[in-house]
Amino acid sequence: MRSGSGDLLQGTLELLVLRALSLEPMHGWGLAQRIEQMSRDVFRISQGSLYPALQRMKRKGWIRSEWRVTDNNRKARYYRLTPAGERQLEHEKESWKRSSRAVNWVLEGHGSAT
Amino acid sequence: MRLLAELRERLRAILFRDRENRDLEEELQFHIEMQIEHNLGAGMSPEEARRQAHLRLGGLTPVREATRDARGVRWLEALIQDLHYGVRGMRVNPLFTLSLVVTLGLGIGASTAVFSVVDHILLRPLDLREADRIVTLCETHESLRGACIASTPNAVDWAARSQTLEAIGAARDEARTLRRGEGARLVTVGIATPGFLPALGLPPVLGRMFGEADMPHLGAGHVAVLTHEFWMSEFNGDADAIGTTISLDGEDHTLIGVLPQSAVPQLERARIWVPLPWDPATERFRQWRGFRTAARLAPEARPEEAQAELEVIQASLAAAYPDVVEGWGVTVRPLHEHVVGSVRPMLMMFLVAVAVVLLIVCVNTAGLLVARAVARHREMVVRTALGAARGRLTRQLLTETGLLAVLGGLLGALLAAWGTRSLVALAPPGIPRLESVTVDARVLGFAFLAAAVSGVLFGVPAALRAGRLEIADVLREGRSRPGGRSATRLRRVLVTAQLALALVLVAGAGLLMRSFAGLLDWQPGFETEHVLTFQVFPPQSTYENEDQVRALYVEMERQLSELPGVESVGTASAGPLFGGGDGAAPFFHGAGPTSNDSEAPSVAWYDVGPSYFETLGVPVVDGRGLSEVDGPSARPVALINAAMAQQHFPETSPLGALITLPALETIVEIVGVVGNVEPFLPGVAPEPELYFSNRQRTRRATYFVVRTGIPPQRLSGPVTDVVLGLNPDMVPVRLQPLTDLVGAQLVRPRFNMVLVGQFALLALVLGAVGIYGLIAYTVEAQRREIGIRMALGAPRARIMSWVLREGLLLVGIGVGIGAVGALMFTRLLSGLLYGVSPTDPLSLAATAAVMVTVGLVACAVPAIRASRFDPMLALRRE
Repeated sequence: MRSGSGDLLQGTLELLVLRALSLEPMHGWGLAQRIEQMSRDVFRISQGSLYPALQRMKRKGWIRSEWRVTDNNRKARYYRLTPAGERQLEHEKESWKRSSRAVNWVLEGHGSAT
Repeated sequence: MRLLAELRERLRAILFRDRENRDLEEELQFHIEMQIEHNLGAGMSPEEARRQAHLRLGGLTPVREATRDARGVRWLEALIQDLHYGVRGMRVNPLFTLSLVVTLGLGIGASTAVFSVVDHILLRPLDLREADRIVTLCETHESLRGACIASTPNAVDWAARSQTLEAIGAARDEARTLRRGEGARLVTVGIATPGFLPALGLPPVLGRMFGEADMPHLGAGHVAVLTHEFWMSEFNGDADAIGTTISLDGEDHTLIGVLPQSAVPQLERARIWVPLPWDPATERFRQWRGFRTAARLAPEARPEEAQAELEVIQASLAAAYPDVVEGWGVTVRPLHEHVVGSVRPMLMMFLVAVAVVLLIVCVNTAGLLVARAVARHREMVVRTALGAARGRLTRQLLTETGLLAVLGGLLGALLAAWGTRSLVALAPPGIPRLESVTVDARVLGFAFLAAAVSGVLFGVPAALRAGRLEIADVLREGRSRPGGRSATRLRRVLVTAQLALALVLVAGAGLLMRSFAGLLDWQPGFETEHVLTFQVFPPQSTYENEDQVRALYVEMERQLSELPGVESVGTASAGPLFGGGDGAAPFFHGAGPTSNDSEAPSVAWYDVGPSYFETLGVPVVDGRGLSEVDGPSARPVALINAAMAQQHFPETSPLGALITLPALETIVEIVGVVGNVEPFLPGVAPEPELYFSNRQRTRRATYFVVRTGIPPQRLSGPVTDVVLGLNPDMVPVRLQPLTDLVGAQLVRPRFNMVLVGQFALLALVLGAVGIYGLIAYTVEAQRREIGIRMALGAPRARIMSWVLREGLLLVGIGVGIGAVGALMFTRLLSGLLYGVSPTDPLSLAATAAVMVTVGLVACAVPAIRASRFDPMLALRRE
């Protein structure tokens, strides 16, 4: 699944981006704001790592980008989820739930698994 | 799906790199502006808002870099950049680039061309069905060398009795006059028993093959089968040719079939095939061993079994026909081996020679790259100091070397194609299977790989080493460059290796040259200038018996001798250089065999006309020559040559002695001894020979020799007119001056010599340039030392000899190592040398002398330059 501290953050960031984009297409800056907002400011996104992450996800085919005009009449690059991205989101959600459950069991010291 | 998306993205990243970069810039600018707005909204001042925005993002450059990296095409961009540098580097030093690419191209091209030829001729099986099951059967006799021949009655008996061979046939080729509409010309016609072509597995592509029922002696009408090439050129590949007739020697032949495109081994010259015109089992032809054979092994049989079986059959034939078959063995030889066996030594030698060339080129490439690496040391040091990772440097060097290798490989491919074609075009006649030669792609790939790998193997580590920053070296000033010392050692090794390899080739070339010179020196023992020679085949239909043939020849000789410019005319059944020859027969002194033992000595025999020896200028050393007196009703006489007289009549005079030859059913009296005709092989002694009078034993096919006072070519026309005048169906064959035949003998040795000579020259040049480069570099690097020495009083001559010594040391080591290799290589030449042994000490000494001289000359330039150094300037340089 995930390994190494750096990767953990990377994988999580991608998951958060997928989730944010599943609500509506956004540009990079808006994405950063939305994620902070959604996590109730627990996660302060390192903005610099957002763009490489977006590039990686674009390469993997989970998101697509297009240039649009904002409400303020400025040009910005908007990202949206692809069907593959939606599938990936579901898949990640499941994995995350499974692994957090497992961590919980370990932390709370229950002997038997269900 | 994901793979496709990734691929598309990466492709976009490469193709639209600039646009992607601009988009990213815009996006990041947008981000900064949004953040600034947000910050302003939170109450910061404009400068603070801007500063915080940038801080929050984390710096534009790292983000740019990280995002570009995330595109996943970094390696490709780096590669393109490396290629860019590589090309620029090549342009900076065009001489270096050119010499490297050219030598690589030459080496790869030459080795591929030669190996392709060798592979096609030697290694690939014949283009026949189940070619490895086809054999040829040869009757062997102690006096025969190399030829594979048999007689038709023997072949018939073998076919009847053999279990291990399922198809046996015999065939030969002869010249026939072809008449189709207007005009007559000569074609080579193959005459064969019905089993010959089927044994080879050549089913007709059109029509049918002739069989037992088509044999003329059984009353069938004459039929003929065309070779594919003849059918295409003469009949335009028209299928309606089947059923038409052509006239051969005045007889009409119906065309019944066309052969497939493969060449007929052993008898490639035949353009039309007809059945044997007489019964192959005719007893009086049992001793006429003028046929090639082909046979196919039965499904389960092995060649050794066939050999054993045939030996038994032959022994029983020898018992049944002792006069004719006694003393003749039989050999079963795989056809492929027979076809290519004669050229195997030559081709193997070329293969090894060209492998040596390839090796030299690889070593040369490595040396050049090492030298350049040292020259670029400063660049490498600076780049390392600026933070270039070793991996990146290595990749770049690899790319550069790879680029050079690719260019060299492309040139090599071109040269290989051209070289293969020219080898085929320039090859001496008689090389089998040349028509199927093409460039072998595998070999090309291999040669390319060899050259590239050697370049990489040596060039890259040397360059990296040259770039290493050692503290000690930084502190030291003006010392020879770091990493340069081990590089120089490496270069020494490489140059020595090159010289050793060059010696091998030069030794081979030297031997071939000596051998060729020996051939040029040939003293034949007869007149070769001013002699015209040709052969005639009087058609069976017009000249049916011996008397008619004899009368024809007498008349022809008379008419020819009356031509203006003709000094003398002679005839013979075979002769030096023309070929022919019937082998040998055992003989006994006296009238009738004194014992039944088969250990009787043999003598080669010929039928010659009265003025033959006179025409060729061979002297009569004892007794008299043949004359018209020795006619059909006179008592049988013969001449012998001096070798025969020496060997078999050491004490007494042979004149008047009687000789019996049971195989030929004749007893002759020796009336004269003639001088020896030297065989065309220096160092081979002439064999005993016996000459019958062809007025007493008349031959159908005969060679004519005509001595002329004017240049022989001028008489071609008149001679042809005389012959055709006697019979329009009888065209003189192989009409040429004797000097042409001599020249033909020289073609193959000359070819060998020239090809190996060119390789040797290339090797010498590369070796000389290599050692020159190394010594020149050493002198340059040691300028300071030399300056010091000169300042301390060393005379210029001493400096020069010091430099020369350095160079000659390398040459000496190279020669020493190379000598071992040369001895091994020249062993391959033993089949190709005439009159010179492969370990001839004189040649090897001369080779060593050549190498030393070349090395001396190559080192002389830097040595002289060193001795001219101005010590003050040398000392002042860093």
